[in-house]
Amino acid sequence: MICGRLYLLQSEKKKLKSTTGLPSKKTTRPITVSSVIQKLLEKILLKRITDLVIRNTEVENAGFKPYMSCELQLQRMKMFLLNSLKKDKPTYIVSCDIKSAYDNVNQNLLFKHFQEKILSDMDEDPDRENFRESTEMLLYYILKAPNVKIYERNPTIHLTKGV
Amino acid sequence: MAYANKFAKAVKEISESRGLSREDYLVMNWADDVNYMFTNIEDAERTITLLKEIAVELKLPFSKAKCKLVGMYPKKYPQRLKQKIGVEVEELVTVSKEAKILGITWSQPRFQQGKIQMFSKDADETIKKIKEVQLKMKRLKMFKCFLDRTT
Repeated sequence: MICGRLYLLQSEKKKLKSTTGLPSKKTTRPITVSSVIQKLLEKILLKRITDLVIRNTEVENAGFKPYMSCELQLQRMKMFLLNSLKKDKPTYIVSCDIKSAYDNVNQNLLFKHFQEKILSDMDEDPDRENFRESTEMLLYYILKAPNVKIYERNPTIHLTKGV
Repeated sequence: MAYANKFAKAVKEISESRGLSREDYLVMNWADDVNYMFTNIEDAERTITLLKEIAVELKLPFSKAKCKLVGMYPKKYPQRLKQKIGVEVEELVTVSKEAKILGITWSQPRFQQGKIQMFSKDADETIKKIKEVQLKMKRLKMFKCFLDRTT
């Protein structure tokens, strides 16, 4: 079963290529386009878990929820601020971006981890020393992996195992 | 989002146990973006300490740069803000003059002839734009085109 197609999108402005001919880390962005079967499975899962998730989330936690729109949240904030200003009270806003403040993934460390994992599975390759960046090496080994099929006409990679 | 939900729950429980009413605090979460509004600096200080404690509990790194505290005053911006906020909070959070929440920059309001001339203009414009988008979505639904997510 095909889980998805991995497209390597390259920036139009910076089409810089390394000496090995593979795209560099800075200009490449991988995007996975899921297959129809996977989309169907995702839809079924979504339908089953939506009610449970909404029931267990707080009322104040908005975003992609029914009846909790961006407009409503803006109105709430505005009303609170105006109300406190009218009563001659100061307002202190504590704003925190969880994704950045708590869960910032170091990409270099992640690539290093993948690289080590792939290298442990594969035999030593004499060409490996020619690569400058770890990403180039990673892409090279992904393309060589046995569960990956490359279609020459389109620059896509068909993944035959779970993504 | 799960973390944001956990934070909202913790802040609500603490505020209610301290006897704060709906007029004293506001919890506003949008996906993974968490925002709280307080009318008392001590409550804000407690929340920041709580955020830090949760980060330790969940074994997550906490970045000071991404957590902001913005003070908004009914009349004039006090020059001695640092003395009011306290040294302990400054070590945990970035004390800023403005924060961007839901695409709007919220900062100290300006007053002209006793009336507030401030973010409300920006907020009104944003709400207007959102209404336009919602109208477009309704039209799409009329043609039986459905979108998975709502704004």
